[in-house]
Amino acid sequence: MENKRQSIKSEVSDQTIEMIDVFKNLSVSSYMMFGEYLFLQGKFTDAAKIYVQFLTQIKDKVHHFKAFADFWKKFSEHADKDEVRKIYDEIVNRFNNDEFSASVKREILFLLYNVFPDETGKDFLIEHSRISQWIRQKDKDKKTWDVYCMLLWQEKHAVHSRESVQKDKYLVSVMEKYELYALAIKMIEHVLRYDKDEVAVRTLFRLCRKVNDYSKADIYVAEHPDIEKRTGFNIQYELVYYYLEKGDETKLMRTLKNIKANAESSLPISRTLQNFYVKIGMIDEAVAMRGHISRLEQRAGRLGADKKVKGLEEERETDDFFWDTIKDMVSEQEHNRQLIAIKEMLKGFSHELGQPITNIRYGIQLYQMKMECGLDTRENLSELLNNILGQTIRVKRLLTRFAPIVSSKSVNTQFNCIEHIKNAFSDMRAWLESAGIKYKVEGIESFILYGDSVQFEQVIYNLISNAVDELKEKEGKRSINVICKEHEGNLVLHFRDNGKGVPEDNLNKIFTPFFSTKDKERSDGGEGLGLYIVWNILKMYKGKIRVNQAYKDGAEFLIQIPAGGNDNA
Amino acid sequence: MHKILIIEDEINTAMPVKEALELCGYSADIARDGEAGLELFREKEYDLVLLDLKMPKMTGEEVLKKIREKDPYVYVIVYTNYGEFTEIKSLTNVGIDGYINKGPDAELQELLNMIQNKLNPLNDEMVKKLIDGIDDWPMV
Repeated sequence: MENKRQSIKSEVSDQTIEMIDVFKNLSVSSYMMFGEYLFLQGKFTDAAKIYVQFLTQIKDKVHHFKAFADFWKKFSEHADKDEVRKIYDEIVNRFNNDEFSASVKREILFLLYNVFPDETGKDFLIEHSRISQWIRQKDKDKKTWDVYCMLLWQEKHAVHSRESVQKDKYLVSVMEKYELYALAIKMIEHVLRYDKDEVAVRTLFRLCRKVNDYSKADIYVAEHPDIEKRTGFNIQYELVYYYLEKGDETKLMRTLKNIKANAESSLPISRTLQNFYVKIGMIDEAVAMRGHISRLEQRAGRLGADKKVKGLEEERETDDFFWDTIKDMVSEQEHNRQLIAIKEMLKGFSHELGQPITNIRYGIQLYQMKMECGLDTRENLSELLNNILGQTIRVKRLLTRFAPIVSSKSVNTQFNCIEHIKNAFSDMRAWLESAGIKYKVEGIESFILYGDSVQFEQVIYNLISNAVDELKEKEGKRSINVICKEHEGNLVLHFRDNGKGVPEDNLNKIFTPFFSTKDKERSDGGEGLGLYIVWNILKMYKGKIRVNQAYKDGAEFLIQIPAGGNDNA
Repeated sequence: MHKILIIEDEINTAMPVKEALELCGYSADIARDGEAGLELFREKEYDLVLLDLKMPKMTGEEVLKKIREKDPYVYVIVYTNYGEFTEIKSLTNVGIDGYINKGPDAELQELLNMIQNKLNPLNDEMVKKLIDGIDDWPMV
């Protein structure tokens, strides 16, 4: 008995829990269920009221609207005309009271626009000049439903001509305000047939951006390929978003360049440009633009005297925000670059080590095969052993090439780096002479760096040996020139050879590890580590290196090192 | 006698392969880079090309494309390193008949077997196996 009662109790509570769960999950759908239930009982008006309540609840989940549309179809078929009228008025009333979300309003407009056709277009035939007044008045009287219907009517039924352009443009702006984007796009297409001015074109692109669908803009671009050449900032601004969406990097860059060229003296445009650079991840450009903006602000501030002190404080806040964003971006990019570098490095390593291992294994395996075939192998043995030793030397060479980066035995001193550049050359004089290369070190006589001077010399050695390899293939005069300069507290080195220069394709690759155009088995290196090591050591000195593309008489490496020195020191 | 072309910039890899192939009764030539390899390939008839992917002057892929332009049917086996499977995938579209690993997995015998299977699909051993197995064949 006791047991039985308990089991019933638990059954009931399980069911209740289930019911509660169902209703919790279906808070919006429960209206629908209830509405359907009432409808099946023949209580059409009650059902409709529940559904109207449902409309106020769905907010931005417009996909639920289809349930209402289905219901409305059934309802208007089965209910009598007075009932339909009553519910229609109820909806319009709530519409005017702003009880629906913008997206639901849009759907209601297209569903209910023509339910009472005699009423909806009756006072829509207004003179063009009076239309804005009409809309303003309706807005004031809280008759937004009328405005919506009017907008739809205008797009569908009004005559679009050259004369209506001004009115249509105004209507587009109202449509945009009410978030009737699809309608606005149709309307702006009417406008563009007669008037292709900057504002109209920009509006088309902006609307496309807002609905996240550039198909209409695509058509416009296809018909007007000259759009790129339109210099107005408004169009260029939208084009940036357009090319960004299309992933067209060349055109994107060209557009940004155009904006920069045309509007650099304008403060707001410069700010916009800076935001674009941040958005796209062009850090250097963003920082440069920031500097430009602060100069503009200073100039504007001087003109406006002490106009607003409070405003300045706000500016400073956004300044901090800007630099924080940039810092995050730089560290992320740096992180990615390092990951890629490590990946390349490991790939290179596995290849570079794989090669000698292959050679050793093949050598031994061939020897074994010969023994199995009963061939006389005594002669081959010493050859095999030498070969194996040779391969281990190759591994050693690979490892020692990394020593300048990895070594912890560095001795940090203050040293005159110009002297060490000259030392490096005179150390290699014999080699340079044998290769028929003349060299010159010109410019300032002294620049003090702090760090490991041996490491610094390694940079010069590697650059020299890189140049020598390049010049070996050259006929006629061969020369290496180094020009040392001081610029704004930095050491600037122009390291030139008169070889054939660095091909454009290789510009981005030459500083990556294991990139080489040379024969790998030559004794003088060629693993593709020389410039990578240069890049690494210079990084320790906070220095930079790049190839000067403008230099045409060979190759020129531009090296810049700030005074002070090695931050690892 | 089948002729094999080894396009490989590492002489210490290419030489043992050449000698081993000659022990097996093939003739083999070595080219030290892609250009030299293509020159030889245009001059002589080869039955199989053994191609390294990483070489100076021309990459293996470029060489492979040129080879395929001249002869879509010649056997081509490529050398790979670890982690280059994406490369292999794109190369299969151009047309390769096999690939072989370098590094710690390098097996001369494996390479020879692969070449043998391509060039003499019915080698003595296999024929012997077939004949030996004749008794097991179901009676027709």
